[in-house]
Amino acid sequence: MPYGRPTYEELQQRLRSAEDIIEALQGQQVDAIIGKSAVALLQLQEVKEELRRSEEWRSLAMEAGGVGLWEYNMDADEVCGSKRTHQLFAIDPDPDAAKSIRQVWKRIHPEDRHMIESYAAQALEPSENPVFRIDFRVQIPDGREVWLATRGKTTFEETDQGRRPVRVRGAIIDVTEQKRSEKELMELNKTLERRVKERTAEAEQRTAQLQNLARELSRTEEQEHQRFADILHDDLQQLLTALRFRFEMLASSAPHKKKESDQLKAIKELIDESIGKARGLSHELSPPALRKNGLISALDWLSRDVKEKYDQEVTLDAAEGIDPLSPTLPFVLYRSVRELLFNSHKHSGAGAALILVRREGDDIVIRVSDQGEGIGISGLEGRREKSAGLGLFAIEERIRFLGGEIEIDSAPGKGFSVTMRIPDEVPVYD
Amino acid sequence: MILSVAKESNTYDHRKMILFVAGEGLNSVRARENLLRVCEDRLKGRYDLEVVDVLKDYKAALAHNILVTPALLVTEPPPKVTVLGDLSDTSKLLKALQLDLTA
Repeated sequence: MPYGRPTYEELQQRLRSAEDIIEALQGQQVDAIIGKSAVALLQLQEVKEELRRSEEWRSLAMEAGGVGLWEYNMDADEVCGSKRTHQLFAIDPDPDAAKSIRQVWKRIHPEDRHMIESYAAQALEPSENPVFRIDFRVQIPDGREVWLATRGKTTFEETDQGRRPVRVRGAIIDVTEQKRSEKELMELNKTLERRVKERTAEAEQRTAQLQNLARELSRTEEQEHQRFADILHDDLQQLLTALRFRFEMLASSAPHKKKESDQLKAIKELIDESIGKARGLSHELSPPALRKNGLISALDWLSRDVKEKYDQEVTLDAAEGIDPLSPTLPFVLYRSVRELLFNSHKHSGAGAALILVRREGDDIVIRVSDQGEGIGISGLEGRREKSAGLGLFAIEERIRFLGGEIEIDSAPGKGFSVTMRIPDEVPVYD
Repeated sequence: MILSVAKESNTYDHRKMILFVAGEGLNSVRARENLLRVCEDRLKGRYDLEVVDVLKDYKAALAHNILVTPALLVTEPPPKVTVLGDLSDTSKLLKALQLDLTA
């Protein structure tokens, strides 16, 4: 109702009194018209017009919202519904209420009848909030299925025996479109969820492929190292040993002058040094301990080697039996630790380092740390620029490719610590 | 005071009414006669009747929303009811006074 206009009830009241006056006038029973009432009578047509508009407005509001009205009277056990209510159920108005109810009941979807019964029983129970809403399906004879929603309110009467339901009044609307939109939205959500899952699976598969590739690369690299080590050990070292043997035979076969003897001694030393270098290189490329006894044992050997060669104290803290299961990991981790130990020796000035090996779930965690000078983030970034692809950053890349994480913890004067965490999986090669 | 009013209105025993007339106009005279006849027959001693001549005091009529005369305004028992015209329709008058039509 537009604001400031008389209400429907006020209009009706005014119309009634105006009609009374007209009736009296027509019966010639009036002998005086007071004050502005002549004008008021002239406004009668306006009142009627306003009332007609008001009525139209009301029915329009009802029709526009498609609202049907219904009422159930307990005492009379009577049900009545508005024209729109009959339309919604696609039934013809029938003066026989019981027949109408049977028709309505037949239209309601069998699966929804039980729910309606229980709601109806609940609606008649005295409660603080006697308002209810029920959504249900209706089967129209032309084959359509329509969703209806009814809101209702129960009116109670206070009696000596307590509250007693007197009548239930309700409004009913067609919510088929709304239900359809809801359903579409739900299906859309499901489709989206499925797509996200598919994409995630794709991404995961690609990551897995990449990791396999990285493992394959490490394995190939390791095989190459192995091949070089074998050549050094089996071929070059054998050759050098043979050379030494023959040289010694030659040197001992005839007496020499002092000058000759010195030369021979120098040559023998060079041969020995070559043999030593070849062995060292072979070990470095593919430490026998790593191949024979696994990572922990190789790290133990490495610790002693570093101490011997660089006078760097290295402590290995590793529990027994936590060698990685993956065949690739020991080589990657061994080389990483060796690189980090060299770094520590070169940059920290600490003279001591700690290797910590742990297993956390399916992950192998290795930390190499020292108590040396350390380095700030900017220094680290600067070093990254200068030596891209080498040392620490090569390690970082390798570990990440294998699905692991690397954490660098350092500050100037606070030491340097690198923690590598890498999943220990037995890869499946095609 | 409040109790006595409540009692009075509950018993419906007492009528209060105002008859608006226009001097000695034909319809006004008839209305007064018709009303007094019914009151004497059915409500003897149990009613208050005030007669307002709008030719002398039209403001009282307007105050009660009375636009034409003759007009009978029954104020008690509630609700307020107005009957227009010469009150020749007895059944309408009895209904306005909440009196039994057959008695």
